[in-house]
Amino acid sequence: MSFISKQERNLLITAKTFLAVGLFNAVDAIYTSFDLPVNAFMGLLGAALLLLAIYWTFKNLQNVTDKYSDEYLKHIYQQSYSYAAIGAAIPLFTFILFDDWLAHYFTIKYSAKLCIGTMLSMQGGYILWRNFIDNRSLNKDELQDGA
Amino acid sequence: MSEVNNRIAVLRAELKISQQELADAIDVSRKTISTIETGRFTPSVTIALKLAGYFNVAVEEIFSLN
Repeated sequence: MSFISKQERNLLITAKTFLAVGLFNAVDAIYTSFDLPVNAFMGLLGAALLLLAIYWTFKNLQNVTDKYSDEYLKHIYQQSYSYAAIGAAIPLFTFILFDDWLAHYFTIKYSAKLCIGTMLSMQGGYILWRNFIDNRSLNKDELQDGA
Repeated sequence: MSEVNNRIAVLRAELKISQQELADAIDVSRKTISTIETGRFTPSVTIALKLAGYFNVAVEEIFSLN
């Protein structure tokens, strides 16, 4: 079953990257939009990571159904895209509802950055959270099995 | 949690096999078995049939609706 553990490791790496890049971009968008200073190097790093994340996301989308041969991993990965959509929709609807107030702070660039940030954070966060919950139950089963 | 009940844990206990042994037998991960047993993941027809084949029972004897 070594191919499955390798796939699981890849999924977790993808999730951690999504979460890290997502959180970085969301925080950066909020900091910059509210006139808080952001180091130029960190901005460049964020942009590079963002491009990498976009590339990775599209690459993954192309083969979402054959990437994971294990059904559980495939299910988690497909499910995570629903959370990505929710993550993108939350700031979008917030911008629609509070556009007069938020327009004073957020430019289009940083609004987009925040949306991408929350989208990736939700996706990565869901995979990691689900993995944590399922691992907890797996350990409990192990005790019952006496394995 | 799930609308589908299953008797995998019972059938496993009867055969005295662990989740890992069952997972290896039907070529899935142990987490797949664990999440099916707890109802957090509803398996595909393929896995349901593999389970039925392994336990040598009908699919309906493993899975039932609430």
